Order: sequence, then structure tokens, then C-alpha cells
Amino acid sequence: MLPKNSLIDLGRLESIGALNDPEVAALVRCFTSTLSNKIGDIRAAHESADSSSLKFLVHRLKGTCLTCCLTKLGDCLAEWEKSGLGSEAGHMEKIEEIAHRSSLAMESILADLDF
Amino acid sequence: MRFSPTAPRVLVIEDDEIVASLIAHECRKSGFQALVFDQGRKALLQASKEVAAVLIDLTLPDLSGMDVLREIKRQHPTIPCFIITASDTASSAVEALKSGAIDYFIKPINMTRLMESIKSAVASFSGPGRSAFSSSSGYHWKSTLMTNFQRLVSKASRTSSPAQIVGESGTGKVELASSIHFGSSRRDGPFLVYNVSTDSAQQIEIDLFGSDGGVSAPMRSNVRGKMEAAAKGTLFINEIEKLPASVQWKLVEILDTGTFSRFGCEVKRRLEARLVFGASETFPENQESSVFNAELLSRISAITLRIPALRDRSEDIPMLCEHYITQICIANCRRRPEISADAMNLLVAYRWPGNLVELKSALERAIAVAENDMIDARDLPGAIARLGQDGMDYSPVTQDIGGRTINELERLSLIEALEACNDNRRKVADRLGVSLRTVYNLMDRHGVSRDRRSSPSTLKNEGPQDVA
Repeated sequence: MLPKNSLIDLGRLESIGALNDPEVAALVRCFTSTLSNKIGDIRAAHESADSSSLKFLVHRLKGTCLTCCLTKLGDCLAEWEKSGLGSEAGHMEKIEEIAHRSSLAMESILADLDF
Repeated sequence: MRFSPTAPRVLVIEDDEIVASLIAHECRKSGFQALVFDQGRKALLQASKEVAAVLIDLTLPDLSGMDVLREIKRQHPTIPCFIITASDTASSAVEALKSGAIDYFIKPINMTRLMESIKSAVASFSGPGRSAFSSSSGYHWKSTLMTNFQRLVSKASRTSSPAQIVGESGTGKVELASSIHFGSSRRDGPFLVYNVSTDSAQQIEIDLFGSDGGVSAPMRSNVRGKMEAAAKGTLFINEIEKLPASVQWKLVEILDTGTFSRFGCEVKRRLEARLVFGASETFPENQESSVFNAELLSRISAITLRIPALRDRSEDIPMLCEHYITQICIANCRRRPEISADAMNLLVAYRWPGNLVELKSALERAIAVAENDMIDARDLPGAIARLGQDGMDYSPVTQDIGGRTINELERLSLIEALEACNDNRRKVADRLGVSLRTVYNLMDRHGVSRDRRSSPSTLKNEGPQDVA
């Protein structure tokens, strides 16, 4: 039985093979290591009010987060996307904070693996 | 799993490299070769007949995934396409399915289900339901004969009434029955085939109706027959001309009452399977009236599908070659070869006594021996290749035919043959090198009455207005 983690969907992480397939684990690790850059791109688009780039980047990151089991961050991006990607509710800051914690949590999980 | 360059190719059109890599990894584990594209335009250049399936992300940097889907389906209607997306709006799912996608996957993608769907779609190239007869095949027949026939097949799929399929050996009766089943509302039920291969009435009854294991039954335990096993599906009983008289009468009763009993048992069971029957091309003309039950014939012949012989629709041969080559190459993980013009001319000119089965077998051989991804005339089986060694030009006929139309020449040949053979249609068929069914079709088409046996000399005066 896997421990619960509010940031990472461990059941799904296991189902995609990240816990027993080194290649999948490496892809997830690669994603988390580049997450801060992707968040940086979103912030830049947000600050320059480039709505089309912002829409594209948020949508794409949402899909990757959900695929790589960073469920909380994926849900947060989905919520922001649904609200129209405005700045009034502090979404950007919240996303940065969750992204940071999610990266640390995923690195910790992957570090415990034998491969 | 090791990478295999001959594995079926799956195009993954996804601009996020992590998601694309995860899908590609799953594809390789499932035995596919994954080709990843981060843009729609690049992928469209690679979409070809050799691709087994395509996965398309709806949001791409250059084109919309929906446009990519439509373009691929326009160019290659038979390639199975799947949509992947992070959007969960019902409207885009409906639009994707209407545009020809087989399925729609929302991120996070259930990889197991995605791979099962791809495998199922790829297998269906050679699996049940995906035949050259199926309405979902995406084929547009060149021959009017098959265009009209396809309409009949669609109509036959829309009912649960008994149907009869008649055709020469190798015309694909089982394949057609399968298409009728998978095109019907019974498609989720079983499709079973029973070939009448014994003359033992008892064995046939046990096979079809089952046995209760009673005193009169030769088996100890209860045995379910094909009729029970095909419940909610379709049972195709092939070669019905071989059915013993006692079984024919039982079928009449079953069709009338909608019930049947296991061998040696009085308990009535409800018939829940649709019955489709297969018979040889000359059926029932070659049956003695005392052998085949007219009552049964009248009950199964309301929907009769006569599969045209391949030689009567040679204009469909290039497309059929395309269909079978794709099917064979995917099943055998081979690169898809092209066919040279010489080889195609011979394939179209050959008379195909074994029909579709012979064509498929010839292509299997040709693919096995072809070099440099090209099927040439020398790669074809002897009987076909020899056509090219007689000095004749087998390219399509375009020369002058002395002011007469093909239609006139065809009518004259028919009438001459009828007179020479004293109106014996079977001899006429042999003389003209066509099937008996074709002789009847020609007589109908040219207004030659079928009951002119007594006065063959009047044939010359008949005209198309006499159509029976």
C-alpha cells in the first residue's frame, strides 16, 4: 500500500510504470527537473500579457502534469485555465509554490527507487 | 522490448516531449514502432499507407489536431486515428469522433486502455469485421456491381431476419457474413461459423443444437450447440446444400417457431442468434428438387446476397490488392511493397477462378519473394506470371473495336454462345469462361429471355427492351 501524497498521485505513478521501469522514472525525473523553467515561461507570458502564449503553455503544462502524476499542480493549472487565466486571484503565485513543492516531493519519491 | 524496424508504425503527434516519450515508450513495449512529431505539418508528410495508427494531440503549435485528423482521414481513410487531449469538453470529443477518430483520450491518459485500443484497431485490419465488404472499410468500389452490392450488404445488416449468401468458391462468404454481423446491432455478440462438413445428420444436430447427454444422445455430458453459443450474435451456417433432409426440416421448424431443442431433449429453447446461410454459386439450380427443402429455401431466400465473382469486377482489383497488401504487411510486420504496372496489368487480366482467396494467396506469395519493396510480374504465381510470357499486351484495352461498342460485342458473343450450346447455360458459361450466374446476368442485361430454350433462332431478334 502506497502512502498518501496530496501533491503526487502515487497510484497513477505506479500504474504508468515509474516505480518499476527505469525509462519511465527517468522521463518523470526529466520533467520535474525542467518544471521550474516551464513555470518561468508561464510567468513571463503572464507578465507580458501574452494571452495566446499563456493559454498554450498553461494547457500544455496541465497535460504533462496530469500525465506525470503531479495531480495537485495539474488541477491548479486546470482551475486557472477555467477561470480565464486572470491575475486577480493570485493563481500565478499559488502555482509557483505548488510546483516547487511538487518537484521536491517527486524527487524524494524517485530517489528512494533502486534504479 | 527491443526496437524492431519492421514493427507496425504508430505516429505520435504530440508537442510535449515528455508525454510523447511516455506514449512512445508504451508503444514500443506493446510491439509498435513509434515515430514522434511535435508538429502537425511534419507528421502529415509521414502519414502513409505504411502507418498502422496515428495518435494526435488536439493542441499543436502549428495546426489544430482536428485539422490534422481530417487531413489524414481524407488522404488515408483506413488508418485508425486516436485523439489525445488535456481538454475534457464533450464538444471536441464529439467533433473528433465525427471526423473519423476511433477513440478520444483525456490526460492523464490510461496507457493500458490506449494500447489496447491501438492493438485492437491494428488487429482489425486482418480481424473480424474489417473486411473489404464492411461499410467501415472506407473503400469506394470502382465497379457498379460492387457499389450496388455494398448497398445490399448495408441493408442486410440492418435486420435480424435470416439471410442467404451465395457465391463461387473463394468469393469471401464468411468474410461477408462477418461484415454483416459486425455492421449490425448484434456486433457485440458472438459471430460463429459452422461449415457443414459431414453427412451425419446426428453429428450436425449435436453441433448446431447441442445435446442434453440423455439416453439417446451419444455424449454423456450436456453440450451447448452453436445456436446457443451464438446467442445475441450471428451464426453463419456455410455450405447448406450439404445439409441432410432431416436437419433441413428442423431448420424450417426453428425458423417458424423461433425455438429449438437440444439433441435428445424435448425442452424448447429460444433462438437468440441470427441465422445466415452460405451456399455455392449454383445453389439452388444444381439441387434436385427432392434433395433441398423448398420450404427452407423460401424462408432463407428473402434476403439473398450473391457475391459477384472477381473476374466480373476486375476494375476493383487494384483496390483489393491495396487492401490485402496492407493487411498482409501489418500482420507480418513487413515493409509495404509497391506493385509494378506490369504486375498490376496481369493481376487485372487474370480470371481468378479462386476469387478473393486466390488473390490474397497470390499477393502473400508475391510479398514474400518481392525484392526492393516492389512486386514485379515475376513475383506472381506461375499461372498469372505466364500470362505475361505469351507476347500479349495486357495493358488496359483502348484500341478501336470496329465501330462496335463493348456492349454490342458482349451481346453478340452471348447470343452466339447460346445458339452454339443449344441454350445450355452451363455450357455457355464454360464457352465464355464466366460463371453461370454471370450468364444469367448477361441474359438479363441484354434482354435475352430465360425461357427461350425452345426457339434459339429467335435470339437474334431480341433487344434490350425484353429485359426479364
